[in-house]
Amino acid sequence: MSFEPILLAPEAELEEIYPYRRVWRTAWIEITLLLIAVLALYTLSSIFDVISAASREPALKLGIAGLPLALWLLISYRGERRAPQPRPGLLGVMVLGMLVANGVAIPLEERVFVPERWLPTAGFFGRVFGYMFTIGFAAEFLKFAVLRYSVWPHRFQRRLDAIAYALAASIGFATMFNLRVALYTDATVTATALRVASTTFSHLGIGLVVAYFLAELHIGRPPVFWISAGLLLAALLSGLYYGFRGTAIVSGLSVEGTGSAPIRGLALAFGFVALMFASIAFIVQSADSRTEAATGGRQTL
Amino acid sequence: MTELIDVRERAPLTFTQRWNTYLAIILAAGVMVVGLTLRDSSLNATVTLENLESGVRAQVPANWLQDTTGDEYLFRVRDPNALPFKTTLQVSVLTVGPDATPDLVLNLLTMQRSSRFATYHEISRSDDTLRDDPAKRMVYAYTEFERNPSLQSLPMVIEGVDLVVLQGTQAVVVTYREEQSAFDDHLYRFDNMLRTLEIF
Repeated sequence: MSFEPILLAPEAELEEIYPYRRVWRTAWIEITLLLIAVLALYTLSSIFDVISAASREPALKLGIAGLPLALWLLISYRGERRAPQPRPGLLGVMVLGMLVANGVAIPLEERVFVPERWLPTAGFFGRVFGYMFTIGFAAEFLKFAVLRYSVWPHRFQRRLDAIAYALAASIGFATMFNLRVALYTDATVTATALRVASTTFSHLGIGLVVAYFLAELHIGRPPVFWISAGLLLAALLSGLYYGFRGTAIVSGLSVEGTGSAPIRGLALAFGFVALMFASIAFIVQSADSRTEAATGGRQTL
Repeated sequence: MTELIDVRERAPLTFTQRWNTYLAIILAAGVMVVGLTLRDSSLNATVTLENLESGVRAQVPANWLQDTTGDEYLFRVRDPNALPFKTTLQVSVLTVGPDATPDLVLNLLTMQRSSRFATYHEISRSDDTLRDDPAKRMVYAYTEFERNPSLQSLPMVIEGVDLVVLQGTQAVVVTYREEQSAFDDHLYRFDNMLRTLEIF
């Protein structure tokens, strides 16, 4: 009598379908594409002279100013619409970001704080605290207000939802500043592109801080001064960014004289947003892991 | 296809959530005040400028370009960020005879400027005081052309004011000049300088 071994194939493990748009992936694609576009434009105008370095073509400037928004609509928003469980109200948050930037932030900067009249000549710490307590805090408070009074807390089921909505508000916010540069300044096409990249990267990066603090206010048990601390931290990061940008784009003294180093400014802006994305992604993942361990499952409030 | 419908009721905010919002709003008001104070302290910061030989001292805006080398003035400061015209404050001293009056000094200035400035004309003249000393104030205007022909800009109308006070055999002339549309907005800088002007 012999026994034939019966071989059983292991049961195929069903892969859990992730029903939401992967926020970090789309955000990374957008900022990388924007960086490539600006670098290409800079190379074409400053190195190969295909586009005149003095070109101020309004249509080209307007196209560059609208590029971050176009990328967000094509990648993030389209991805959201295709996800099994899309986040509702994303477009509305983006439009609200544009409205508060145009209606409050820009008038505050141009008519009340007028930073270009007193901050560029200040020392490093003067610039950091000057920007922090004026346009830095104002921008982050306005983004907080947009999220707080539109989608928080009922749309914040996971911490990543906060990130998705904050990126939408930030892209709307940055777009209005980009359009203002394209429409109302005499900047060249290359200068406009560099400015658009700098503004977009800084707003996307710093907006995540407010998003994380708002998410924790809904999901965690933070103290009563939590949001205030978050706003001050975001404003400080904003001030530091402006402070370092001023140092980065002015090249050092040499026998040939002084000059600007726009590529260093672009590298700083991209490095800053990359660092912010990586840091906040790590913090969100750690917080999610802690919540999962505490509740025994994925946190979906 | 399964459609997900959100049927959860919105839970009321907790005490911590509510107070986080209130504190954020209070903080925003506080930060706004700090920001405006920083701006004002920077924009209105002054430095002392003096000429010991002529015995004149005044507070002038910090971060403005200072010039103490001119032949026509003791010192002059100009706002480097002002466009299209660099806002100017200056103090000059003229040697005068014992019978001179502020009116005569202003007449002399008018004659000199009529040949130097295009379309120069006097707008008004009035009595004033400077630290209880009688003085005379004259408002005038002229047009200035952009010196760089490649900029192809229209002429600017410059409005100016002089305040003349006599001190022994010296006539101290304090001047403020600004592009006409911004003249009233920045007149406070002239008043600030007059308040701090010392003639010793």
